[in-house]
Amino acid sequence: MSSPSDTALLRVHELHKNYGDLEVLKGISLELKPGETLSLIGPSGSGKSTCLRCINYLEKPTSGEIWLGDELIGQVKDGKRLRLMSDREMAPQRREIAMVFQLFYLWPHLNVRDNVALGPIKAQGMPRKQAYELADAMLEKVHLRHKAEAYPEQLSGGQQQRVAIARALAQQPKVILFDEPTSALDPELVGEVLAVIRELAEEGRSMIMVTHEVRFARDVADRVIFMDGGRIVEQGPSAQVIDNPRHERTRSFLGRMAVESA
Amino acid sequence: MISFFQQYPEYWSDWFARLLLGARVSAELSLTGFALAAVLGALLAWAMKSPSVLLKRLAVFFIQGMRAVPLLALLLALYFTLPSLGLTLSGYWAGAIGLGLQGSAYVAEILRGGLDSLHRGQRESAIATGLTPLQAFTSVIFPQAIRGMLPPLLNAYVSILKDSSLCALIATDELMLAARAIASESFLPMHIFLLVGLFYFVIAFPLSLLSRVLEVRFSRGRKTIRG
Repeated sequence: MSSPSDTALLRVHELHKNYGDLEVLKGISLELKPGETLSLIGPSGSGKSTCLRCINYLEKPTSGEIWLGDELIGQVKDGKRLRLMSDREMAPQRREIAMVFQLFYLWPHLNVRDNVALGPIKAQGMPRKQAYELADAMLEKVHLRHKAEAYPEQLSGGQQQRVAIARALAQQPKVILFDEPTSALDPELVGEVLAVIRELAEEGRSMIMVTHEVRFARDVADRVIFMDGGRIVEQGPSAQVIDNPRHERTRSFLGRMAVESA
Repeated sequence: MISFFQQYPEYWSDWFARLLLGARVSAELSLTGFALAAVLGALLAWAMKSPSVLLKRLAVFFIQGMRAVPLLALLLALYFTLPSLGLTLSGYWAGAIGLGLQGSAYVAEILRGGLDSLHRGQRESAIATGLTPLQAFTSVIFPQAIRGMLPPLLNAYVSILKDSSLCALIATDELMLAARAIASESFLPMHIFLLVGLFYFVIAFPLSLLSRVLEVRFSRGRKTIRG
């Protein structure tokens, strides 16, 4: 019989993050199984976005370890001690952990197809023709194949975020991180982005999503983790955490969210 | 009464030829100075962006120093005091280096400002996609930043071109020195210096115009760029 950590695709172990005296993450441990969609919810300032950004080392953890399979992320053995990798050393690892940002961060000087193909061309050394075919296929997945020649500024926010998702898919990553992917969108554009993410979940992609969309998390995520004050308060199957939270803090947070969205 | 431009008609073609020669030297001198300013300015901008506090301080100190020193003082120092240290520069090279040194301070600020104008998310999304920092710079950061840098860089070149006239005072055979020579031979300073003004104008004005056009074009694009 195997322990849970043997089957985990991604493991976060005792993650701490301090900004000076401010302790933002106070020891986060979590696991993501292959094909699983995990949702991180919690109030603003609970550390959920910081936690996500530590996974691909856009924020450097103060201590703790991130494992992707049996590969230690962001740190390398230097003699007997571990040291932080440079951004250059980390490039191949980051290729395997895609990220979708709240503000999309598409590259405005490149058209949509080039935005999606740049990663494969540069990071994977893929020939341009093949990268464009891959880009078009990924754009098809987010239903934007017809916008391949457009520039980001010509697209709506929802379309830009779907391009950003296509860009993430083109990395052919093992894990996709979503950092509040719908928070910057006009309400009427949220649905199209959530629909794409739902399709990815149904395909069995391994994903971690920080979100304020509690109902979406309940419907789409396999598991939900509720964070508050830099700690995990509660985690479990999404329906259980959201419909029958055990902790008082989870209940009051979900109550507030329900009032706000009503 | 003889009209303004009809004095010494037999000399005009000679003067024009000499001024043209001087203008060519001015153009070369200012381009050499600008090339030096670009290379040194890029190094300074890189130093200001580097994590090393020492490098950053040195770069800032150099830039502030270069801005505080009058160009003429710098040119005279290069031309007249370096020989006593065993390094003799021609007027041309003393001029080019002086223009380059001072220009580099302005170029460095332009480059740094251009890089700072991009949201840090642009770099984050590039490295999160698996690009190395160098790839992120060449494929994502620089192509965007250069749009904002081009107009002020053109203006910096125009400044260097105009400042290059000071090199006449360290015996560089450029446009202004040619003009002074002709003016003192002909006793027609107003005519000659008007003509010289026209020479500078003909070179500088199209560049200023181009800078303005680029500025308007790029700022139009920028408004719609998000993130």
